[in-house]
Parts: sequence; structure tokens; C-alpha cells
Amino acid sequence: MTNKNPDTTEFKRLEKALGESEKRYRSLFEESRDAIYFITREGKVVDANKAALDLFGYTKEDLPNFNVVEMYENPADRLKFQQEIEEKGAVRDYGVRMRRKDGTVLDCLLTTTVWQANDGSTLGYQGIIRDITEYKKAEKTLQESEEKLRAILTGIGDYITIQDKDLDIIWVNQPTMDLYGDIIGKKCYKVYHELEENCSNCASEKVFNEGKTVVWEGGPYRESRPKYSLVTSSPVRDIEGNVVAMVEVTKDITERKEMEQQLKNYAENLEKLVEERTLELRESEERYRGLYDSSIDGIASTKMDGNIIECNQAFSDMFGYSKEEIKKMNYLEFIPGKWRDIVARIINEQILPRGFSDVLEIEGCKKDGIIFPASARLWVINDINGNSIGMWALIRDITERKKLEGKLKSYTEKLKRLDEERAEELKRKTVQLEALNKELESFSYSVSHDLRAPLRSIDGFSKALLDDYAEILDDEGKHYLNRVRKATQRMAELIDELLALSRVTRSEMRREKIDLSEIAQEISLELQESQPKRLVDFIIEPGLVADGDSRLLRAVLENLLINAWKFTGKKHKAQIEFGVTWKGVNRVFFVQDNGAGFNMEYSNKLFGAFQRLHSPDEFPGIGVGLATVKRIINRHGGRVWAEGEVDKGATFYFTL
Amino acid sequence: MVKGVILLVEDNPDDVFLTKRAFKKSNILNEMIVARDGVEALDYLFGTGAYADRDMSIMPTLILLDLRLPKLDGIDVLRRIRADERTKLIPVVILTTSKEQKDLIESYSLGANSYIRKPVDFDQFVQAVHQLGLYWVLLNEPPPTIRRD
Repeated sequence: MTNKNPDTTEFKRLEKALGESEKRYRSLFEESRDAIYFITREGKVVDANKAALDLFGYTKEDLPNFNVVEMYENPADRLKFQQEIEEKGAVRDYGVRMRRKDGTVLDCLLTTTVWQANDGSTLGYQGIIRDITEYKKAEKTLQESEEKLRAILTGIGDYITIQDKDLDIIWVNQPTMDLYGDIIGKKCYKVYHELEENCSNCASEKVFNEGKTVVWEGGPYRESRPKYSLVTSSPVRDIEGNVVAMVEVTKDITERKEMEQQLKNYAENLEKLVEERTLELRESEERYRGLYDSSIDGIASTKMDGNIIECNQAFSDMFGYSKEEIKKMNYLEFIPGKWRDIVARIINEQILPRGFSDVLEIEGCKKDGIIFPASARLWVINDINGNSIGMWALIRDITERKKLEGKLKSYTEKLKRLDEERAEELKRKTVQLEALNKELESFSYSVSHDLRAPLRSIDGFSKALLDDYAEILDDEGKHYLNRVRKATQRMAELIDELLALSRVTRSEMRREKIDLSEIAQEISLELQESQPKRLVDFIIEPGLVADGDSRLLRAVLENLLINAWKFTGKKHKAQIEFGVTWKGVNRVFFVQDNGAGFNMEYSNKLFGAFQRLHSPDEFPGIGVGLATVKRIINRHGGRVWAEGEVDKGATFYFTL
Repeated sequence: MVKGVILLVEDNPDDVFLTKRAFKKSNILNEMIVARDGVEALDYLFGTGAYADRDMSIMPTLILLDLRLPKLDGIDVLRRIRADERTKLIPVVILTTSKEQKDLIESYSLGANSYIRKPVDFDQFVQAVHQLGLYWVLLNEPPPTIRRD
């Protein structure tokens, strides 16, 4: 290097003085891989080694023509740097951005000392330039990467911690910080589980001793932290591969766990339900199976094509095939030909549209060819989706019923014929009866008229004799005539009563509701008025209502009460009662007195016409009253009877 | 003594005798015309048949009518009496043996003035006739068309 500067003289002198040493260092200088330079304070490059020239893309020829200031990206940096050197005498690793000859910028570290002359004056600066562009780039990348990592570790939501070998927490991510606060430096077991020593099942052993990653589930834990967690514990190695720490990534799996638990519960419930339902179904099936097996009706199921699936014993018995044979048959084989179309039509018109058929009366065909009447009902078997998959058939052999029906029909017809004959007969009889009635009517008319007329003559002429021939007749003659007259009176009475009796039989009946008590009351009053001096105690139960002809029932009560009145005539304290009593389900009316009564031996004579148990002298009467009562009661469809004892009274019962 | 003819329509001679006797006994001495059947009764009343020549100005004060009569019975006679202007106002007393409801109803509905059942006992019959005569012949004012000579 040559220099025309005033300084050059000094430099040459020094060069000489340095002698051999210089030679040695030059070689070192030239060969060094670090860029080494010498510059003046003004920025003139005094020397630069090959590494320096290569670094900035200059040649030695370029050096005299430029100032080092040009090499600073920011020329102001040069001044700042120079000041620092001047001040301190040396600057280490001063970072500055410098420009190559081609304009690219390099990150450089300058380590520079002041270059002094022997007299201590500053000649310039000498130093080493290190290109740290690549390093800077790497550092930036690293920073960015770290930033990314941090963001990920924060954003990930999982709790991430790093513990050292002593299980002190040395790093946590933000979510962990948010949850636990500042726990750096604390023991993990203390923080997480409030324990004083390591957990018995800690993964750290495997991680630290075996260098393995362990994934494990923890929980349930107390509140304020995830109840359930999934933890991944991984080793952190140093550059030599030694495990120096453990990263734990804790994922909150509470929701999943609880869901799992719920699912498990559901599953368990479901299982239980299924079990119960299965049992129920089995019981139900058992029940229906019993019904099916023991039914006396034949039951068979078929597929939709009519092929039999199965049948019960009754079905097999009914048709005479074994169950095994039946399983290979089609339902058509059990139906005589003429019914097949009808059944097919019923399947289409009733069973498929609405699910079941009416009760059909068809015929069945047994194995031995015998055809029998049967009643049947068919219905569809649906699967769970409502698709028809087959049919049930319920069949009953109605041979016996049909026979009975036939018999019944013939009986009914016979009965009808009989009824018609009976009706015909009745009609004939009615006509006869009507004629007879007419005849009887005219007969009684005749009796009433024609029998009485001679009586009147007998009496009238007897009286004429007595009147006109009194002088001729002696007392005996008069007595005889009086006897004749008395007899005619009696004869007249008999005729009247007889007529009354026949009227009872002939007159038309009109049934209506009648208050018998009221009628009895009226009659009792009439009786008492007729003989006011008699002391008779009437006991009449009120409100006895019956269905009947009022005129005729009045006659009944009249006869009975008059009888009672009559036959108590000799009692000092007579009592007559009308009431009702029950014989089983039958209401029985009665008229009771405490009068003369009668001997039960003759009770059968009581109700005959003109039958008397007492002489007319004892009690007046001609003996048609009870005959009339009996006829009226008979016409009402009732019954009349009497109980009594001589001198103890009588009770007359009647039903209607 | 009030005059006036009584028409007795009765087929039984005994009854005729006894009826007349009963009237006599009761001192009812009016003239009594006797018709033996329904036809004769109508002949008298309307001046036909055997009575074609009778004086039609005289009409009975009272008709005693039996129901059971030969030829035409009492009910039909009554119907004819009530249907004719000349006779419709004459009192008619049914005097009969029957006490059939049918007869009673028919008689009254055809306009009979009274219905008496002949009692068998003659004493009672006299009593009945006495009262009937007393009432219808003596007390009762006949309708103005009937002359009472």
C-alpha cells in the first residue's frame, strides 16, 4: 500500500521498525476469515484484508477511491460509532447495517479499537467486521416462531405447563394463568391437588426416567378447575437428548366425560328397559301362547301368499292334518272350491282395507274330504312399519250349531203352525163364545123378564086372595098363602142375584189404576150409615193401589166387606180390617173380620154359587156374593181363598 | 078426580089384571086402555087398524109401557111415540120386569119420563103404582096439547 499523505512518512518509518513482525501479521491478516480493516479517522480505508473485500464486494483497487461513510446504510451511524470509539477507546460488537458494493445491506457487528501512533496520537481505527445478516434472519425467524408458538399456546385453550425435574412449574400458558393465577415456581402437586408430595400415580416418572410421552385421564376433581381432564405429559430434552423438563397439556374433557356418563346412564337405563320389556313381552307372549294353544277355535297364521306359517292344536284337530303337514299347505286347501273366490274377494274388500273381516260363515274342508260349516274371522298381521306381512285366521266348526239351528228352525215352523192353528181355534172359540154370550144374554133377559112375571102373578093373586077372600080363608089358609108369597120373594131374589152373577161374567173389563183403600173406605161408610147403631171398628190400610176394573173390584170389596159386616153382626165389638200382606213376591190383599168365621172343612164350598155355610135365619143371604167375588178375581187373573175358624172370624185373601 | 085416559101397553093378562087392581087399590080410577102388543099400542095412538074410528081428540094422559112385547117391542113403540108430533109430549113410564142397564139407558135416551121395575111383591107393586099414579096423573101438569076432560 502506498500513500502520498504527510502521514505516509511516519507510516514508512513504522513499517521499517516493525520489520519481520509485520510480515508475520500480514500473512495472518490476509488469511483471516474475519474481515479486518484499518481506516483513518476521516474514513479512508488504509487497509482491508481479502475477507473484508469479499464481504463487501470490493477489490483492493477500489479502496483509494471511497470513503467508508458510504458503506453505512445510515451515514449518521458512522459518526455515532466514531464518537463511541473516541470516548471508550474500543467498541465491541457494535451492531450496524452496512451496504455492499452491489447495494445489498448486511447486518454487521463491528469490534473496533483506536489505532494509535507510538506517540499516542490517533491514526485511525482498526477492527473486525462480522456479518451477522444470516444470524439476524435466524433470530427474526425464531422470534416470529416463538410468537406464533405463544399465540398457539394461548389460543389453544388447553392448559399447558412445563415442570422441571423437581416438579416445579417453570412455565404456564395464558389459559393456565387465567385459571390458577401465577403459579410459576410452585410444585405442581401442591397447586393442582394441594398435596405435600408427588402424586402416587404421577406420569413424571415415565416421562423423566423413560423419556416417554404419557397420555392419561384425570378426575373427577374439585370445582374451579376442569372436573375431568385428558393430560399429555411429554418430555422436554436438551440438545444432548437428556430429559430436562416435562410439558403437560391438559385438555378439559368434563363435557365429554359427563356426556359419556350420561350416555352410559342412558345405555344402562335402556338396557334395563329392554330387559324389562323383554320380560314383559315374554310373559305376554306366554299368556297369548297359552290362549292360542288352548283355544277351542282353530287359529292359523299365513303369509300374504296364503302359505300357512303355523297353527294351533284346535286347527289341526279340526281339519285332521298334523301341524307339520299344515305348515306346508296354503290356506286355500282348507276351503272348498266354491268358497275360494268369495274368500279372495273378502280379503280384498274387507281385510286389506280395514284390517279384518266380518265374521264369515263359510265351509271348511277336512283332510278326509268332509266339508263342514265354519264361522271364521280373518285379520291382517302388520310388521312394525305397518306393512301387511300375513294374516290370522280364527275358525270355528259350527256343525253342531247349524244342526241346532236347523232343528230350531223346524221347531219354530212347527210352533208357528201350532200358533196359527191355535189362533184359528181361538178365533173360532171366540166366535162361539160371542154367540154363547149373546145367547146367555138373551137367556138372562128372558129369565129376568119371564121368570119374574109368573112370580108376580103368584104373589099378586095370593095377595088378591088374602084381600078379597079373607072371610072365607081360615088362619091356616092365610098362613099358607103367606108362605107362598114368601117363597116367591125368595125366588125373585135368587133370580136377581143370578142375573148379577152372570153380568159379572159377561161385562167388559176395563183395567186401570184403582185405589182399593179409597173404595173400601167408601163402602165402610155406607155400611155404617146403613146401620148407625152398630159399633164396628174399620181398619183400612191407606194407599193400596191395584190394576183392575173399578166397577168389578168395587163389587169384590162390597161383597167381602158386606160379608164381614154381616158375619160380625152378633159381635159386641166387631172389627173389620182391609190390608195387604206378602206371600213370596205376590202382593195379597185381605179382608179380615172377627165374626162368626167358618169351619175350614167346608172352605171349598164358600165360593160356589148358592152355597151357604149358615142358614138364612142365622145370617141372611142367598150365597152368590163369594161366587161373584171368585168370578171377578178369576177374571183379573188372580186367586181368592179364605181362612177361618168358627166364632173366631174369617180372613179372605185375594191377589190380582 | 082428574080425568084422562091411561094407556097400558102390556101383553101379560095377569100383569094387566094386577096393574089395574093396583091402580084401583090406589084409588086412581081413570079410564085405562090396554094394548096387548106394540102394534096395537101404536094403532090406538095414531088411530089406525082396530082404532081407525076412534076419537083422535082424546090422547092418553100417561102411557105405561112394558118393554118385552110381542110384534113390536117397547123400545120401538117409544121411539115412534117420540117421533110423532101428536104423541111426542105424552109422559111415558116404562113399567117392566127388566133392570138391565141396556134397557134403562135406551129408554131414557129415547125420552122415557120414568122407569119403574115391577116388584114381585104385590104390596110393593101397589105402593109403586100408587106413587106413580099420584105423581103422573094427579100432580103432574100435562103438556097443553093433551086434553084432560
